[in-house]
Amino acid sequence: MRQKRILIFLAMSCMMLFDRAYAQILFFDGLGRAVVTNDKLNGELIKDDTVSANKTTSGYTLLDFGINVKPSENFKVRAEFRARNNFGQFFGAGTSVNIRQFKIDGLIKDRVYYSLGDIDVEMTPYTVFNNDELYHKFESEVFAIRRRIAEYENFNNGNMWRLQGLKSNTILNINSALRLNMHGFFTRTRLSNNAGIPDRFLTGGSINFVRGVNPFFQAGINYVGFFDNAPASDQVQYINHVLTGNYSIGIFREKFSVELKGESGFSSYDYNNRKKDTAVSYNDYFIDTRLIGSLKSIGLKISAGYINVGPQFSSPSAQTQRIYPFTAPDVFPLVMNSTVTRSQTLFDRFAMERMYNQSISPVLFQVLPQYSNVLPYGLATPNRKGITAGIYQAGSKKVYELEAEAFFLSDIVGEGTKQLRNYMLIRGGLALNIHTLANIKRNIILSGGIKNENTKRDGFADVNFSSMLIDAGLSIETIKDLDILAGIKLLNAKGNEYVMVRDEYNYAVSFIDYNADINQKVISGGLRYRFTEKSFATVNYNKVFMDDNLSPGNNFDMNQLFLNYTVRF
Amino acid sequence: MRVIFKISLFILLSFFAFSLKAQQADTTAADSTQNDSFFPADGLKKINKQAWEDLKKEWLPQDVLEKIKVSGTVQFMAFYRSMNQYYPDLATSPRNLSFIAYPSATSTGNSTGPPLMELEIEGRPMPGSVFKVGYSTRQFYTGQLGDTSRNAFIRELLKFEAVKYTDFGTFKLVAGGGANWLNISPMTLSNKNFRVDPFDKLPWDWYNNSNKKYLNYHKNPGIRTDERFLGAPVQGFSLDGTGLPGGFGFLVFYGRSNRSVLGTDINLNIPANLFVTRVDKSIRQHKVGLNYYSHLSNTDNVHGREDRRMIVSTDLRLRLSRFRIFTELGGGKIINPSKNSSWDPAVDFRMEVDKSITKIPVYLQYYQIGLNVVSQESAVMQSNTLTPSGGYQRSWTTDNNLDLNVLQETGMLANNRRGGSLKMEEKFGPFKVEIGTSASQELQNVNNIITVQHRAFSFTRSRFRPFTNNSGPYQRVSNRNRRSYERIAVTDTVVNYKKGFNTLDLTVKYLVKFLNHDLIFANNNFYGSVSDGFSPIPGFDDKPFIRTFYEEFSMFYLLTKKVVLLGSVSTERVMGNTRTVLSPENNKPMDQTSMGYGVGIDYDFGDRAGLYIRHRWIRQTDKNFMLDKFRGQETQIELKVFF
Repeated sequence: MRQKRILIFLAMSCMMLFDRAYAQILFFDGLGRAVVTNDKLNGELIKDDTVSANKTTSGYTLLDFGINVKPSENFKVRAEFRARNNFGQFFGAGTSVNIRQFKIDGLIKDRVYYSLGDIDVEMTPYTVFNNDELYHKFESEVFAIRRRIAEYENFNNGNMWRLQGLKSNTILNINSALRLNMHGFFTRTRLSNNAGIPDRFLTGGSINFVRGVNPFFQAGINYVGFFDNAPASDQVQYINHVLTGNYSIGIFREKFSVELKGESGFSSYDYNNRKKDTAVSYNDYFIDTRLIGSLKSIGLKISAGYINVGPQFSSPSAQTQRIYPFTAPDVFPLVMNSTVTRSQTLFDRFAMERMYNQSISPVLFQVLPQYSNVLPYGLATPNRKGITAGIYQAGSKKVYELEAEAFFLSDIVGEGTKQLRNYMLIRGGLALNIHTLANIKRNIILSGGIKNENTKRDGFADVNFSSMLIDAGLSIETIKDLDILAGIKLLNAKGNEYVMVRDEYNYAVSFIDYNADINQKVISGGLRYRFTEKSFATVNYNKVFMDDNLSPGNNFDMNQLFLNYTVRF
Repeated sequence: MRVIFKISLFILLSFFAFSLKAQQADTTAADSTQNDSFFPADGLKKINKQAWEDLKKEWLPQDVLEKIKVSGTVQFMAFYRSMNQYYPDLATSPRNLSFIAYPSATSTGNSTGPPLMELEIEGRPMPGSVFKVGYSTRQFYTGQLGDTSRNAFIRELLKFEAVKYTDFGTFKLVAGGGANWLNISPMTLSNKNFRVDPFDKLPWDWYNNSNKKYLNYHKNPGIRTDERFLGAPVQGFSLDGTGLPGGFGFLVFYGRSNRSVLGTDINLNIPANLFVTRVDKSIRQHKVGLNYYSHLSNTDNVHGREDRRMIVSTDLRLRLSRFRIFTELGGGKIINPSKNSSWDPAVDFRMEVDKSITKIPVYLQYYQIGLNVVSQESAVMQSNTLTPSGGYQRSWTTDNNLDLNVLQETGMLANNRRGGSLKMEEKFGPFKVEIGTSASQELQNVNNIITVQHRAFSFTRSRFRPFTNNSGPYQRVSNRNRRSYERIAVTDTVVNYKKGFNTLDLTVKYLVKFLNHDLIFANNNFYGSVSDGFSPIPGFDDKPFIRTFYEEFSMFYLLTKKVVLLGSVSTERVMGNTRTVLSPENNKPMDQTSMGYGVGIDYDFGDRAGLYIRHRWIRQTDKNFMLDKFRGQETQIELKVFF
C-alpha cells in the first residue's frame, strides 16, 4: 500500500514536470484595457458654434493576446492578436480582430540572435531614435497613465521605432580583453505603388568594440541608410546616409567614476525628383561630446559637454517627431462650425492615442514653438551648437531623485537672416518618496518638474520667445492599494518666433511669423486601485484650460471624465 | 513493485533533467564564456553575462501566462425558405438559402445571428485577475473565391474581471464588453422573459442532451434559457461588493446598454450613458435593496439638450417557509425637450404560495407602473413614445423596443399599466397543467395603437424583414429578435376610456411511454383581448378592439438516447372589430388566420455535438386585409458542437 502511494505521487510529479516542460513551448502574454471617457468643451471658442460637437462619450475594450510558440530552443514565433470593441456597439458591430504584431525570433548557434517581422529598432540619438519631445520625467502618475496608453498604442517602446523587417545582434569575444557587439537591421518603410513611387528602406547597423572593465573603453561605428529602391523610370530617388562613430573611455572606481563619451558623424542627403527635374544634395556633420563624473557615495552624477549639429545634418530616423503637429485631436477635432481643426493642447499631445506619428519622415515636421523650440527634433536637431550641462542625484535608500539639465545653444547659420538665434533650455525636477523619508507604510510620492525655454535673436527679424512647462504631482496611498492621484501641468508660452516652412528637400521656403501669448493648464485628480502588480483600475477627472491672450475668442476649456481598467500579463 | 518503483524514479529524473535542460538553454551562451579560460576577469564575465541577458530579454520573457482555458462552440446553421406567397417587402428572394439567422438582401454583412464558430479563451494571469475573450467567425458562403463575407469579430465576450478579497468583503470589478449581462431589478436593469416555442431550436441553447432538454421542459414551465439573458446587455464598468459588514452589498455600474445609442449616433459619440447603483442588505434568507437607475444623455452633442430617465426603487425578497414574496416599489421620471415629468409611481408585488396552503402552487402578481417609469433595459414593456431607445432624437416609429399598448404575455410587466396576473400549476394524473390569467388597464390613454404579438412561428416571421418596424403590406409589422409584432390602430375619434388588456394562458403537458420510449405532448393555448375598459376576464365577443387566439400542439418523441423526433401544429387568429383600422379593400376589420406545421429531428451524435433539423409549413391569410398573406416553407439545419 505504501509503495502504491509513492507510485501515485511519482506519477503525479512526472505529470507536473512534463507539463512544465511542455508549457515552455507555448505561452501567452498581452494586455487588456477598457476605457470610457466623457468629454465636454466650453468657452469662447464654441460660443457661437452651432455645428461642432462639444459633448462626447467614447471608449473601447481591447485585448491584445500574444501567442508565443517556441517549438525548439532556437526558434520562437510571436503573433499578437488584437480584439477591440468600440464602446456602445454590441453583438459584433464596431468590433475588429486583427494582427497587431507578428515576429519570428531565432538564435543561430546560440550566438546570433535575429528577429524578423514587426521589430523594434533603436540605435543612438543621432542615428535611429524615437525622440520623446514631451518632457515628462517628473509628471504626476495621473498623467503618466494616459501617456503610457498613447505610447503603447503607437508602439513607442522607450525610444524605439516599430519597423517591419529583420534585425540581428551578436556578441563576439575577440580575446580575453576585447569583445565585439554587432547589430544590424533591414526594414522597409514604404511600399512601392508600382506606378512611379518606389519602395523605401531603412537599414543600418553598428559595431562596437568593448574592452575591459577598468579602465573601460568602447568605440563603435554606426550607420543608417534611408533610401529608395528606385529604377530609372520612377519619379523620385531618395538616399540619405548617416555614419557616426561613438566612443566611451572611463575609469570606474569603487567610490567614483569619470567617463568621456561622445558621438560624431556626418550625413549625406541626395534627392532626385525626376518629375520636376530637380536634384538636391548636401552633407553635414555633428559633434557631441560629454564628460561625466559621478560620486557613488552620494549618488551624484554631473556632466558637461558640447554639441554641434550642422544645419544640413539629415538623419530622418533620429529627427522625426513623435507627434505630427497638424493632426486633429481625437476629441473635438473640429471647431468654429466644423470649419477649423482645433489646435492641439498639451493634454492632447500626451493623452490622445491617435495623434502620434508612426512613420519616419524624410522631411522635418514643422515646429510648434510653444511645445519645443530649442531641441524640437531631439539632440539631432540641425543648426545647433553650444554647451550642455547636467546634474543628477538619487538619494540613498531611494528617498529622492533629482535631475537638472541645461543647454545653451545657438544657431550655426542664420535662418532667413544673418543673425543667429540664441537658445536656452533648462529642465529638471525632483521626485520625493515621502513615505521612505518619514518611514510610513503607505506610499506618498511628491514630484515636480520644470522645462524652461528661451529663444532670442536680434536684428531685422528679431525673435524673443519663451515657454515654461511646470509639472507637479502627488500620489497618496490611502488604504492598501488605493491611491489618490493628483497632478497639474502648466504651460506658458509668450513671444514671437519665425517658424520655418520646409519643402520636400528640407529647404526653407518661407517663415511663419508666429506670435503667441498662451497659457495652458491641465489639472487632474482621481483614484487608482491596484488589484495586482499588473492590473489596476482608475477613474480620474481632467480639466484643461487653453487661454490665448492674443485671441481671447479662441479660449476654451475642456472637462474629461476618464475610466480605465488595464491588465498586463 | 521494486522494479516499478525504479522505473518511475528513472522517468521522474528524466523529466527533471529535460526541464532543467530547457531552462538552461538560454544560459548556454553565457556559461560557455564563463568556462572559457580566456576570460579570467570577473568583471568581464559579468558584462558578458549581462550583455547576453539584455540581448535575450525578448527571447524568453519572464512571468508569462502558460495556462489558458479554451472552450467554445461551432454552430453551422442553414436556412432554406421557399415562399409561394410573401409580403412585398420580403428582405430576400422568395427562395433563399442563408447561413445566418437574419440575412439582408442589401448586404451580406448587414446581419446578425450566432457566429459559425466562437472560440472562448479565459486566462488568469494572476490570482484575482481574469480576462475572457470570445473570437467569433462567420461566413455567408457567397460561393466566390476570396469570399469577403468571412470575418472575425467579437460577438459578445470581451471582458476583464478583477476580484479582491478583504476583511471587509469581496469586491469584484467587471470591465469592458462585448456584452456583459447585468441584472439589478425588474424595473431597472433586467430582461423580458418571453415564452419560447419548444419546437424552435434556440441558437444559444446550451443543452447537449436533447432527451434531457425535453424532459426538463416537461417538468418546468418553459425551456430553460441561459441565465445570462435574465439581465440586460451592457458595456462599461461595474463594481460590486458582497459580504460587507452587516450583511450589506452594493453594485455600481457606469456604461452603456445596447439601447443607449443607436445607428449613426454611435459614430457621432453622442453622450449617452447609464449609471445604475444598488445597495442591499441580507437579513438571513431575506434581502432588501435600494436601486437607482439613471440614463444620462444629450439629444445631440452640440446643443446638449438633456435627455434623461431616472428610476428609484426599493425591493424586498422574503423567503418564508410557505410564501415567497418579491416586491419592488419606486418611481420614475423623464426629462427631455418634450417633457419634464413629475415622479410617476411604480409597484410590482409578487407572491408565490406553497401548495400546503392553497392545495396547488399559486403565483400572484399585482403591478402599477406609470408611463414615465421608463428603462429600455428592464423587464417592463415600454409604451412611452417620448423616450425611444437610442435617445429622444430618434423616432419612436422606428423603435423596435417600443411596445405601444402591448397585449403582453401573462405575467409580463408593461408601463402605463395597472394590473395583475394569477398563475397556477398542478399535476392531474399524467397531465401537468399550467394556467395563467392576467388583467390590466392603462393608466392614461396617450395613444390608440395596440401592439399584438404573433406567436405562431414567430422566429420564421421575424426573418421576413428583420429588425424593421412598419413592414408588411400595410406597414404595421414590427420584427425583433425572434419575435414579430403587429400594430393595429384604433380609429375612435372620441377617446374617453382607458384600454383594458386580458390574457388567458393554458399549457398542458403529458408524458407517456410509447413503444418503451418517452413521448411528450404539450399543448399551449393563449387567448388575449384588448377592450375599451377594464375587465377581469377576456372578452370573447366582438366588443374588444382586438382578440387573439393561439393554439400550439407539440410532440416530442425520445426515440433513442440520442434521437428525438418532433412535431408541431400551431394556429393563430387575430381579429379586430369595426373600431380598429379597416381594410382599404373592403372596409372591414382585421380577420387574420395563421397556420403552421412543423416536423423536426434532434440527433445527438456526440457527447457534445448534435444535428438539429426543423421543417415548417407556414401560411397566413386575412379575410379582409387581402394583401396580408403569405405561404411557404422553411427548413432549418443546425450542426452544433461544444468544445
